[in-house]
Amino acid sequence: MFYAPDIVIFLAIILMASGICGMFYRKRTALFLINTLIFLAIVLISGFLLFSQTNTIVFGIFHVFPFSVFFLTLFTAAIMLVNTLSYKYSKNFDVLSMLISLSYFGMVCVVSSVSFIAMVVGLEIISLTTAFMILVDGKRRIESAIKLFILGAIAIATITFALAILFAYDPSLSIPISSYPVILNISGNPYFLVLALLLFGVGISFEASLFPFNLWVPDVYTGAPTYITALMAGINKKVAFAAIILIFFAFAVNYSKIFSLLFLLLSVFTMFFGNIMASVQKNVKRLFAYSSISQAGYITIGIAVATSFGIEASIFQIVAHVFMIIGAFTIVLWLEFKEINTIEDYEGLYYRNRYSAIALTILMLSMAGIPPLMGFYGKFLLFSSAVEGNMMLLAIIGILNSFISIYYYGKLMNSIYTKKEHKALFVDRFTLLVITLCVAVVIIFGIYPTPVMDAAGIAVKSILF
Amino acid sequence: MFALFAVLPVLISSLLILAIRKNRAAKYIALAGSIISLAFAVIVFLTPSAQYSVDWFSASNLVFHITIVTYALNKILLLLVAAITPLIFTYSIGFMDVQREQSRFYTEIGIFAAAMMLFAISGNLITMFIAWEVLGITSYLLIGFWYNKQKPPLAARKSITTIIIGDIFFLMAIVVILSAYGTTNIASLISTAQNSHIQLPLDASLIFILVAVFTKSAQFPFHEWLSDAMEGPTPVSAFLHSSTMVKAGVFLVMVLLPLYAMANLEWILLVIGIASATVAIMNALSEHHIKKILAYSTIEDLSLMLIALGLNNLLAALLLFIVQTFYKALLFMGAGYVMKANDGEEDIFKVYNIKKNKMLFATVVIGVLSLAGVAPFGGFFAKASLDSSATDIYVYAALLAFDLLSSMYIFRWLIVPSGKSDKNMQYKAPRSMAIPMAILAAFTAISGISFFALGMNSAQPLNILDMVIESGLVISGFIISYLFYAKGLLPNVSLYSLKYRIMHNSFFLNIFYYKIAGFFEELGEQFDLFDHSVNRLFNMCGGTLVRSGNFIRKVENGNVNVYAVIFVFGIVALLAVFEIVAVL
Repeated sequence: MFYAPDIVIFLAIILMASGICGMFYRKRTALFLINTLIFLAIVLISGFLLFSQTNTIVFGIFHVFPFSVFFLTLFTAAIMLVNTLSYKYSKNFDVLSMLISLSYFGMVCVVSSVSFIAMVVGLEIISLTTAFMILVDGKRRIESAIKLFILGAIAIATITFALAILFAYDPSLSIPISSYPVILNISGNPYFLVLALLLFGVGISFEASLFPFNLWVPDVYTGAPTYITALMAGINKKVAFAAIILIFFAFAVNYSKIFSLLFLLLSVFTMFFGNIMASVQKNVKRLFAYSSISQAGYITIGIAVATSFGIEASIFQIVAHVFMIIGAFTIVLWLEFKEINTIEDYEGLYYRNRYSAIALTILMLSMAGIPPLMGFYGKFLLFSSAVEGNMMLLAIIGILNSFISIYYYGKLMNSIYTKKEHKALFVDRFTLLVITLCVAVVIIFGIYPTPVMDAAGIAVKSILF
Repeated sequence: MFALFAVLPVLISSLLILAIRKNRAAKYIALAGSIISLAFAVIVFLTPSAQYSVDWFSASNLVFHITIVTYALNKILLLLVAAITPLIFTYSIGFMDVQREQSRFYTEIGIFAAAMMLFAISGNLITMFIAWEVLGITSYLLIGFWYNKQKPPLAARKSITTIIIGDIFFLMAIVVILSAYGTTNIASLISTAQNSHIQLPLDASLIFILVAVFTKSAQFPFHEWLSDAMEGPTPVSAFLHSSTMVKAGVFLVMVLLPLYAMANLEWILLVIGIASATVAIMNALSEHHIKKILAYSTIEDLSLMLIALGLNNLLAALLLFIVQTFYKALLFMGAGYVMKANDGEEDIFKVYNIKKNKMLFATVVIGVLSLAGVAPFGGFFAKASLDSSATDIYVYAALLAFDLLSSMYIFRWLIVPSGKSDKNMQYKAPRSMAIPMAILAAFTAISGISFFALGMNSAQPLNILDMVIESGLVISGFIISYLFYAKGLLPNVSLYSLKYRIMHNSFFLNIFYYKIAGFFEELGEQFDLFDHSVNRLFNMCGGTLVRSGNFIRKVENGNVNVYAVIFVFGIVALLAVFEIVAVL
């Protein structure tokens, strides 16, 4: 095989280095963007090629196996979109790009970690760099950056406390996975182990924005520049979900019945919180922030079910939501620069720019779960996994929440198609590209979901014992 | 998967038209797409039969497939549709001269054609159902194309109401089959059903499918929508009646014929076929509308195909299927031509002489002769072989009567307008309308060849007696029509006499329809009160939603201290829950 598995990780590290190099490219950002995109494209392609056949450990830290390659490929694709956006809209693309590259390294750490230490370091890198990314835009962003920093510190403290307890059980702190045979050796009372995992779940729920640890989300999402919001909602949150799947489905698979209660509670509360709060929002950016919270709730359904089908469904919904939310925030970002913020401002968008109005409608329909879009199939899988896992009530609550979500998506759609003559809006090439890609993914894999589903199946099989 | 390439060009070109919305370019894009499709369809026709299947989507152990098959039947239908499509599009270039609606028209009719092609090559019921639904929806859009006139929207509503009944029955059949046999693939369904001894689900699903077929192929008692569908533009009628939409139902019976033979359900096809043909012929004989006569004639043709299938004579049905495509498209195009020439006049007693225009007259006469079943044309072979396969004396008598009467009404259709010559025909159609008619006339003239191409001359050679009887009946039909309408020996039938009204209204079936619809409307009004209360309930839900949102919102005050406290409370609450669960 021409592509050694090491190359992916190696490239990821090089990419980080190239991000740092960006500091010296200050004036020639376009060149730098192309440089970064080429690196990412290579990672993406090698990710596709490596998928389903690799299983090695690189440098003793990075476990390259289908699960990690799957998420790495997904995040690489998403980072490409976000990088394009930040090049277009940020004044300090050089700094921002360096931070994004660092954050990318953190993602690689988390999804391919062989030990808790690597995972926590990865999470911390992501959390910190995101706070700085918000700050890069200027002083007015300082509030949300500080909020993210302080609350993130609390979350990391919780996780670290969990690790301290885990250390007593397994001093190596390794994460055993089927394809990497280190068997967790637990003797004695598992009470503290459950406690540790619970605390770990709480800490990571902060990143995954599950209620009640997600109160920072709307403020920070609204306060951050929108391309960073897209990054946070589209990628950072999904990294946390990857970590949750790794820990609670692979590492603690023996306790998955206990933790299904935890995620059931979190899922139900998160769905209701996100949807109810979204329905009273006037600001569209904030509306999508809450909508992304409710989507996190849907994703958690599959984790609560804790069967391999449920996890597959969750992974599918993760993929769907990455593209849905990045696309939606791209349109929000573009309109934000034209002073269009609230639902009232969106009136007549269809008559001002038809293409973006239709794209936003498709993305919202997908989030609400209307066939034949990707979000529909994800929800269909999640609910049917809940039914199969004897969690009928959870499925019903999920469907109820889908009803509620129609309320606010419908309100925004109503506003978009209200006839109001105003001068036309112009979309630039970069924004158009990102929107088109997101909508294309949502439509294509909505009509023909099998490739993603198969890939998710392989990824799940690779972490199972 | 190669067969899909025949579908894609038409589909992509119509989506392209939808995307760019250029009225000028629409027709050329659509035509180009359809010609590429035709090229692929020819290649598919020449390549050996094959079956391809891909997973479409799955939910744990339930897997849905997209299956594409190119067996002989599928290839024939695909080629027919692909061959008719460019001709229809060319005709539309001349016919649809309203510039403003071009892109809408070509988008809808392109998707319509693509759906029929997909139907032709689909090898399992799921794929068929998708195509079936798209056909139904696009036909609704096309019939109601002139949405700002009075009648078309009503006709469209009637058609979709009827078709939806069939859709529901088709879906029920799929569910029954899937739960009984675990497969929707037609080939494996036939083999599974032959080996299993469960009779009931098979019977039930086959009857459900028959209901769907009768709605789609406009058979009694669901035939009324088809004559109303004449409100659509003429190219649509030509397309819908020749190769698309109504043929879908017959084709479905064709591919499932072994199952019908096995379940001994062919008598339903015979009974319904004869009933529909009777009703259709009576309507056709009394109708004045130039296109509606042809519409009723389509119903009769479809009934004949179903009768042929009921007699288990697949080849005769297939021959009629092929031949009918050409002559019916041709006749509708001719009707459109005549209407154009007469400023949209549609009554056959009021349109002017069509003999003046030699091209029009020649092509239409070829079409009429083929429909009536005159010797060298395709219609003759189809009808004669159908007659000779009738084993039952009653069926045979009915078929002979249909031969005579169908020849009568179609010659009436031709003779009545030709007899009037008080005005000269000034209109000269554009070449884009004339060329497809000429091509179709050529196809119709040689369509008798398909009798030999299908190998029927050796498989089921024609009986000389049948041929003579058939020809005699057709000729006597012509003579009667000639005496009635050209020589003025018309029996004096008042438009308000009972005889006329029975004939014209298919036994008052329409009135019956409206009674049913009216009943449901009244029922709906009764439900209105209930509806309002439901509405109020939903409004209350919305109000509650907003109120609770405003309440929870107080937490979201932007204060980090509060967030941190709630974070800690969250941990404590979860620990408490886990403690309680551990204790229990």
